Amino acid sequence: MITRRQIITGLAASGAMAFWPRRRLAAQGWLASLPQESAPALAAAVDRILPGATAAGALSFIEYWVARPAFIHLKRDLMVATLVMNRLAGQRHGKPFAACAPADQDAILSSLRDRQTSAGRFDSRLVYERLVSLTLESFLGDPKYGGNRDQVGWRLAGVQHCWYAPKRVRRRTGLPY
Amino acid sequence: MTSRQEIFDVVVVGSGAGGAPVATLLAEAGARVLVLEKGPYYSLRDLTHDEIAICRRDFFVPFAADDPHVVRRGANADPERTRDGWTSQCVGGGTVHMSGFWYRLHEEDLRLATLTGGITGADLADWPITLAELTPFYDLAETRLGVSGIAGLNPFEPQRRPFPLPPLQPHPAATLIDEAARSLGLHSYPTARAILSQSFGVRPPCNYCGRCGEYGCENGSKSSVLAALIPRAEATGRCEVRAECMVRRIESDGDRVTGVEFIDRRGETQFVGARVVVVAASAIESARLLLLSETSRFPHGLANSSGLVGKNLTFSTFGKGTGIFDRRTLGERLGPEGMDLPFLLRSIQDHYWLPNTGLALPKGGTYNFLFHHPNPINAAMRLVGDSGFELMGEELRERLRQYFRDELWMEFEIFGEFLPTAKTYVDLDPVVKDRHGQAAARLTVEHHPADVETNTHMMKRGLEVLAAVKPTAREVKAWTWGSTTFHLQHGTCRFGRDPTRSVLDPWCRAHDLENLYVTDGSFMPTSGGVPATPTILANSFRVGAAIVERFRRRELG
Repeated sequence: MITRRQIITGLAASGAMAFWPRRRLAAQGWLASLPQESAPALAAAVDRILPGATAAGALSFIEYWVARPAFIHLKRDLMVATLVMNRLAGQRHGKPFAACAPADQDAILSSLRDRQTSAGRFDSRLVYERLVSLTLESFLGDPKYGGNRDQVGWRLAGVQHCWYAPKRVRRRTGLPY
Repeated sequence: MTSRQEIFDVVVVGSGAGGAPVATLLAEAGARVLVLEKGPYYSLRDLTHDEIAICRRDFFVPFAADDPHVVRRGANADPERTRDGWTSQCVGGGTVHMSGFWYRLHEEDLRLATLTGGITGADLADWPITLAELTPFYDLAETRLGVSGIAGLNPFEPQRRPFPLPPLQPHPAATLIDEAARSLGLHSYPTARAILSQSFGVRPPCNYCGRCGEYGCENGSKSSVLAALIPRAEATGRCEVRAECMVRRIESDGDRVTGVEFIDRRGETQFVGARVVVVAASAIESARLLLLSETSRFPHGLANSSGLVGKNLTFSTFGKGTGIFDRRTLGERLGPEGMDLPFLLRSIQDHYWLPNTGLALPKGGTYNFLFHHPNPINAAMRLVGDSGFELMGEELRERLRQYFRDELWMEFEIFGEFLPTAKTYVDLDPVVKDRHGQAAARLTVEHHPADVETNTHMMKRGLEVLAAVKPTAREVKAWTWGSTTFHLQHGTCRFGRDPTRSVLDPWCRAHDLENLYVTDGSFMPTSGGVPATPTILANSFRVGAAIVERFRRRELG
């Protein structure tokens, strides 16, 4: 007897992915416009927050969202965050953030989280929380935004969706969604 | 361009739980109805399960940068621009993304002033109607929307007739909650839901995807007013729903309203005349609209001769406790059948009324037992947030794996009374404007100490239930208590018989204006010990029926 689990797994393997929207929503080149060492700092920070996040597409995800009008302040805040991270890395270790040892990177991120650094009206704690949110969204959100490549996050979470599957597929397979 | 040529029998501002029932009954009775809704008109195809788009962006609630509220935690606290206080902006309102937990008020909710003799610092008022007067309209709401449940198993529930639909199927862990409750002498019972357990007219039954709360139901099985009422209203041919139309002012002449001015989707200002105006934009926004509609006759806001528009704002005092269980152990105990069902569906109301506890507020409210929401990003953020954002790196990755693979979180939510006081109210912010240049709503919020005391008491009792579950949880902990649920809002135009102590009469008609009604949660003098959406729906049907009668008696010109 074919089990529901086999149906779900089989669909995923056999190309039910064909029902996922293949298009990737366009990025806007924000990363390329950042000051030198900022994009590597952002990538390193994201990977310290959640190892594997950049490989899963976190930067593409972030680049997509900071291009939305509602996120214009986040674009600025993330840039300032990378400048602050690189400044602290330079002061403490004489190198950019991305070149620091992991433990040193974690300590710098802790400084942001614990508001041990300041830069005008920049609230490092708030921006750190937003960066964590973006990282987790990129890993566990819909792949169409550029993250969660090959559904790596959903496979870790055991999430089983095919909500874009047409109704005829859902009726045939008995899948609830 | 302003047009003054359209005149409707009834204009309804807002299309959610407070607006849709009124609009539907009036259209069915032959009135020509216009519903103006600030948000978009989503189709079922728009209601996807994209957690980011639907739950974490502005699909239902605007960004603070676009349409701000202002919140200050006390009159002397710093104000903060926020998204808090918006219930939902779309046709169907908050019912589109509600979880659909269905509870009725108890008699104690309507008589809190009398039963307590008053609570120092609280501005309590009994309701001017009885539960018996509201009950037929709870019945009507359940019948019109489609509510699934089983009556007679909750010894604390007011007398009621059977539900129109049988209960949904619970996860087998519901039996563990039952056993734990019994061991403590408590009476758990199946939670009713505004979700279809069977086909209901043209609407199919629930497919148990588990994404009721925070999402719209693309199946049409959740009994939002978008699925259950709006189509019926439109099908009469006498109800027009105009989405993306923001009402900015109610026009009046003496003691009658004459119509509403609104900004349409093209950004143009329009006016429509009305014989009756029904405001149902949520307690916060309805109060704001009345305050913005001041005239020389009503210099402090339309219908505000009492000075109470915006006052006595209440929410629900909220608590949540969590039991972290081992998924494998539960599976061994319960067997494999039904382990992927999404609903726990258990409630307890033994502590609804707490007469002998010495609490200043002797009303605890309702425990709703449920699973932690299935949203993966939300779950991950909860894990990180609970650590104070210290959880990161490989430790975070491993914690995620453990949560998703090994754990099953059973939780309870407490909905408790939020006492009305002079310290919690809505007014117009002196600085912050919305995108149309109108003053934003400013919420000043302080819990009465008795709210928190009672909620804390309830939290301890609720944790005892989770701790009594066998097999034993890995961990049982309180997550929040004495908190504010901004999306459950009431009180800003309370109803009553005395025009000096209420804004609306017992039929939710403004004391000051014979053809103005308010039918969202604004009318409620007390918030109650259950989520208010079913009560708002029932009352909207009640008031709608009354307005129909007034039209039939030709009292409305």
